[in-house]
Amino acid sequence: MPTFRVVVYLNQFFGGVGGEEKADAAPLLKAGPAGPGVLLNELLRPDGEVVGTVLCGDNRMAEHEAEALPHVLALIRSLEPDLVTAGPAFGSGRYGMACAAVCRAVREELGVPALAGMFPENPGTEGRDPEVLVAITGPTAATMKPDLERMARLARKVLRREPLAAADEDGYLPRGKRVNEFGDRTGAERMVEMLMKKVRGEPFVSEVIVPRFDRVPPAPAVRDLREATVAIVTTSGLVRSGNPGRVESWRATKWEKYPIAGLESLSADDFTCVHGGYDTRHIRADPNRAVPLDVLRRWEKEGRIGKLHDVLYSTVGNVMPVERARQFGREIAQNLREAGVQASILTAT
Amino acid sequence: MVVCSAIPAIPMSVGVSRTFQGKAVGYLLGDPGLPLAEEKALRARLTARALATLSADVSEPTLFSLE
Repeated sequence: MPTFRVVVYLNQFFGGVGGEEKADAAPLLKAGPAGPGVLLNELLRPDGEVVGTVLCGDNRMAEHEAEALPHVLALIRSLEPDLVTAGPAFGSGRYGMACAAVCRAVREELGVPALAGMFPENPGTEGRDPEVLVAITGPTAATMKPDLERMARLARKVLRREPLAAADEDGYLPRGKRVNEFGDRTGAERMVEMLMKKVRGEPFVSEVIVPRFDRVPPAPAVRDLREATVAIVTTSGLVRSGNPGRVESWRATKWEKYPIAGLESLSADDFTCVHGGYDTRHIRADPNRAVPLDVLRRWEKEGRIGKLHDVLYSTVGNVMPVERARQFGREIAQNLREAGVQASILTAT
Repeated sequence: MVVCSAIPAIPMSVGVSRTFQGKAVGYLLGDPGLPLAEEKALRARLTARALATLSADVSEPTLFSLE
């Protein structure tokens, strides 16, 4: 079997260029392994060889990513890698963000698998590319050796195209993938066993991963609605009649915006409801029951609210993955901000 | 932003700052059992209360309702 070519991405510190005073170091290529890559190279033998190390200062990447990242990518490309590893960045935020950016670019633009090493709470793990493998490391370089051994095991599996075990077994961050497997006991049996452990106060591991939710500081109160522009957002599944945008009735992949300037209310001729999670007939009969345009338009005329925003934002909130909801929320919030909206009412069902 | 929901436990559990209790899942801001004029009046009361929550100072996820 040929030896696979591995390229390691490191920051200025681990690459041996220097400390914070060199954090502005431009991308640089070193032949062969450097820093943690030396041990990684030994661990990967005989399957893989670290053929080169690409370095970049953390500040350089953080502050000038638009120039630094293509440069790093070009250096990596020149080494024709079969796999790129980045870090381990441990708990270092800037380094973690740089590793995440490099890995994403390597995968997307070079089509080469990428493996990073990070402490789970490193900000570089937020919003990461789910196709990039992130080996779990400790918060500091104190665990360098076992962390590199974990990375090497994962690297070997990726290079040999061997299937990965579950995230907690193989020591990487969950990628949101589910794999069906046969169990020797039914779900009911496993559930009762967990329940009994819970009752007895014994530790158990749930089979359902509970998503973590952000805690967002409440927005300050709107002092005077008579001077505010108010927008309506809905997850009730309201769409244009005929659903021309083909919004899905569950696990929706899109949100839509509808112009409502000049509309006194929502007509059942113009709007319908495609939410697949509840009985929608009363909304279809009178869409104002989900989106109170009739009331808000009247209040706009009476001056109780400054202005009703001209656009209605809508999606289906049925079985919506949290990560996607977060993305939709960000996108819609950006629209609202650009439109100068100060207040919004979101009707969920 | 205020989230109007018939199942406020959901927005509350994900940490929404201002949640307003809607009427029902199938008619959040209305009631098909009422004559149209009464339903519109109910919708106005619900919507007014929901909007008023935006002028309330809150420091943690807070549930509001019509009553």
